Amino acid sequence: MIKADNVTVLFRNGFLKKAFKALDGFSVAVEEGDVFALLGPNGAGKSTAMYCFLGLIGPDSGRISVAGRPPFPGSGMFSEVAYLPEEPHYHLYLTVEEAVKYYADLFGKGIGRQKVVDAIDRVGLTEFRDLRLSKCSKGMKQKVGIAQCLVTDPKLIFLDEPTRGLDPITVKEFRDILIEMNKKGATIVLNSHVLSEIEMICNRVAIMNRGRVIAQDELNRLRGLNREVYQVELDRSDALPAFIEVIMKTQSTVKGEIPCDLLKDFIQFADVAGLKVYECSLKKVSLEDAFFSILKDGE
Amino acid sequence: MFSQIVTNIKVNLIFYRRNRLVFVASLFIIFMLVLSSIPGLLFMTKSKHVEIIRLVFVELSRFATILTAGLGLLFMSHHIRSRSIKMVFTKPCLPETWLLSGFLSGAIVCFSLYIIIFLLTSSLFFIWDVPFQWGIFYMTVNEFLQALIVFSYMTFLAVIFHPVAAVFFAFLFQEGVLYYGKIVLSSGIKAYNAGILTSVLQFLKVIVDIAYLVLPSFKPFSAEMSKVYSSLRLTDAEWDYLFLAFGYTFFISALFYLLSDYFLKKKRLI
Repeated sequence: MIKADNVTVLFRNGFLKKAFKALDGFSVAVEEGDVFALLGPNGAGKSTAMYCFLGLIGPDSGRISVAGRPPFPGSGMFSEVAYLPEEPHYHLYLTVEEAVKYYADLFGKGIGRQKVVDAIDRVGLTEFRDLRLSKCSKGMKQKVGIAQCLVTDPKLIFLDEPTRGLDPITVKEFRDILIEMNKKGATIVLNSHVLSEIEMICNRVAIMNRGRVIAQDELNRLRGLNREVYQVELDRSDALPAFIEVIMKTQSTVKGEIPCDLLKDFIQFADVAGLKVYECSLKKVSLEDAFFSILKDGE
Repeated sequence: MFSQIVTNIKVNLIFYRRNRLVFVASLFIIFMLVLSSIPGLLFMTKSKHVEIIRLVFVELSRFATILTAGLGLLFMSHHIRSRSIKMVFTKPCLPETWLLSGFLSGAIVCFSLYIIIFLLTSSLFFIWDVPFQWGIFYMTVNEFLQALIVFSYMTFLAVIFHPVAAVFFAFLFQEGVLYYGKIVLSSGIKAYNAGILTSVLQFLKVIVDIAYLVLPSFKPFSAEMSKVYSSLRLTDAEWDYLFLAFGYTFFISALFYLLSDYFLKKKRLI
């Protein structure tokens, strides 16, 4: 669906200043039906990558294709694309309804007023329909952005920090909308700093740093990366095997961690030694743990 | 494409209508216009009616041209600087379509302004019981065409420059200033017949000559049309030059449309 191959984007501030590489050999592949997240610290190049996908920035080198074609502004490719920008760069002189209608009309599909009204209603802006965007709060503008994504039944959705400025209720509703759209077949590409949000909806993640993708995989695999362990607590013993990494010792018990693949050995050891096991639970690695670990490894 | 053009035009007209800067600028120019016209209107003699109508027309046209230039500048710089343009180009709407809508919106506003000017000045003939002069119609069409040239030029400048720099550029590099520059440089070359200074002046003159040829004339064929501007009589009108002015306006507008499109696409629209 989307393919970026060794893309480099340079930003220059003035003629004499040295160019800054916003993307440096950026390569990524998004399959149809994915909910794909670009993850990374500030300045990693996530938004730049998204602008490249949208054709708003042309790469200095490398290739990008979206639905098999190189993207360029306003092309036919966009008839099945929805984009929610990070900053509310909307036509602020329009009212909520005018803006959603305008963006819908640009598709030239003859989208009726009712569909526009329904989309506005769905994001909870019905009573602010006639309010100019310049007078709307940031959260309301973000909802307008969501509404304009909803009216066209897109097949490919680009979301740049989609839940920024939204209240928790709207975040939940928006998440449900995205999951519903994905079930209907939409491919979603998003970038976000909210790791819990990504864990909830994404199936694939690319972790970026300094313009490069340093890890890219299925979320479950990326989160795991063979770092999952069992947390155990057992009777204190002075002859513990080496694979138990002791975390804490009390007068009567020992707390420690063992690698997943040595669980059988652990049970056998406890059985032979006659030690009572109080706890043995799988300690899952969160995306946050994985993210920091991968970033650290990457550096 | 047609429906997209109509959609964009509607939104552009809303932009013009709701823009406070346009509103304040219009009020200011009208205020200045009224202020400068009142003495003439109050203390005139019957024989001066036609002259006053002519002056009112010229003043109103000047106001319309400034306003139209401002509209072109504002339209483009606002949408680029507010980055709302990226919301358009991430829909199946080509920059060419959006730009064409922008040019057409400007032409519509400009056309409306000149209809108002024509009606206002025409009504003065009836109010003061002066025989109507159809030269006003000829002049209105010509002024409308000139305003379109200014609009296209300013729209283009707003694509490549910051709005302040665009205004500065437009004021500095215009036909009259360049013509004056040509004369001064020619006199200079004649006065200093040899030496490095002459070479420098000659080099400067080449640059000014090129700029004079390249930059558009805001008032094409003004000398040929001056008769009707002074008499207001249609019998003095040179229709051939009006058609030529029409062709020139079309050519210049098309040129700046294509140049704006080219530079707009070159821009990083983020």
